[in-house]
Amino acid sequence: MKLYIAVGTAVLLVMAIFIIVFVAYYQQKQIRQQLILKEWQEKYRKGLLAATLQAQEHERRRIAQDLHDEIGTMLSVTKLSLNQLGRTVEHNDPGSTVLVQKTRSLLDETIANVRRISRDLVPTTLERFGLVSALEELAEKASNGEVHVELSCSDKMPTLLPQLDLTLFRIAQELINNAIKHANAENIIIDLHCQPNGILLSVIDDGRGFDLDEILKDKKRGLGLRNIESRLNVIDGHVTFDVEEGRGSRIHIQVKNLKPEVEVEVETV
Amino acid sequence: MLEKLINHYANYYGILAIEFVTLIPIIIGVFYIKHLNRSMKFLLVYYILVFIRDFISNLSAIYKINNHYLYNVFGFVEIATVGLIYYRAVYNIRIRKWIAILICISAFSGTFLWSSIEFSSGILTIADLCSMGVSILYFNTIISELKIINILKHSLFWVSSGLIIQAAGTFFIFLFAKVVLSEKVEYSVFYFYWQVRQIMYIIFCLFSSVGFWVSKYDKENYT
Repeated sequence: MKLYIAVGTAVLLVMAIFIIVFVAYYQQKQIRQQLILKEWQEKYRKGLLAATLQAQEHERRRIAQDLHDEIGTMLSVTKLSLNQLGRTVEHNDPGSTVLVQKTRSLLDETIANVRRISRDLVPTTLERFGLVSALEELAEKASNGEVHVELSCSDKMPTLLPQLDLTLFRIAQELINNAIKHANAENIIIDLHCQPNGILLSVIDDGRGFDLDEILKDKKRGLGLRNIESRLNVIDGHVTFDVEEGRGSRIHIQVKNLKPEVEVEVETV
Repeated sequence: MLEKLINHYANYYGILAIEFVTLIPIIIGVFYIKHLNRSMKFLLVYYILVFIRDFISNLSAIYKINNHYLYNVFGFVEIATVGLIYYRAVYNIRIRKWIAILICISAFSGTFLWSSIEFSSGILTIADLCSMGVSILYFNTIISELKIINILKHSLFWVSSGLIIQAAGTFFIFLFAKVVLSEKVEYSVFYFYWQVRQIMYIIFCLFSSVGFWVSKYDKENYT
């Protein structure tokens, strides 16, 4: 009997050890496969997101090109014809001159608007002169009698990859737009600094702030903020929202100045 | 009393060694108490209770008072501790339900097998069966959920391993306690199987100590 107990104990112990080794080995094998799969899914998602952003930029460029080359040209030709008509009318029907002048000024305004929209769609300054100049232009354009936008940046900014330039510019554009449109900010500071491990872009405003959790909970709102996160996801950057209702907001963007895996083509109109 | 206790430890130094071994998981557990989740805190309390039980058991032995009932009571304590540890550690409702059922059945059937004068083979065997069953359920959860990144840095894996080894190693000993652990058997036989039981307990303590030690990685060890 005592021998049977000893043998039984030994058998049970061997089984217990086998179960432990099996669980440890099998779990590690499975988790390794799962992590590889997750990594692939993440890569695929990033690729998809990068492709979407790239397609978005292509589409903006196409619309800008169409506006500039086709509608802009047509409007210029229309203006020429109107000028000719104006000269004819001036001699034959002096009463219609005022109407022609009014139409001309409306046409001028339309041409200016088409140019502005076309420029807004594609940041040509960014492509020609880089991020700092583009942000300076953005600050200048956004500033008016009620809003003051200021750019503060390091003296020596390294040349960034076009994709990084574009991402940071679009994010700054979105944040400034939000500060003016939703937060009613009067003073906005764009802070661009080079750090040893990357680039730090901060947009600080004195607006009425917002409740981040509430905005992110509502699927209909916060599209711009989600867009910022998506853009940063592609280049492995991250955003910190230092916001509170009634206090203004401080939004910090940090990106690595490294060659990313997915590159977005940048064309010039 | 102190002199008697010292003499007792001097005569049976194995007992002193066991008390020392119980202190290892307690010390490591207290050292890493900030990192311990609720399940591991239950285990720490269990070891403290074991330490107290062994101390009372030794005092009873000195004064020639029967101390077998303490081990039988601890069968219930073990069932309850295992239940609490794993009920808190598992989030799957179905598995939780199974653990609760197993614990209730074990505790309920254990009460019918109570004995205060000798080792209750029934209670101790049920406690072992319960420990093995719950550990296997937990292993099944680990494998099916795949939430742990590195299993070797997962505290409850070590605790479950120690528990299953201890339960497997003592199952037949407790099942046939009347043959090997009763007062009627030869001392050499009793001593041999009691030593086996002690070795299994030491293994459990050492595995639990590793569990307490790796508990600092627990929070970041999930996918």
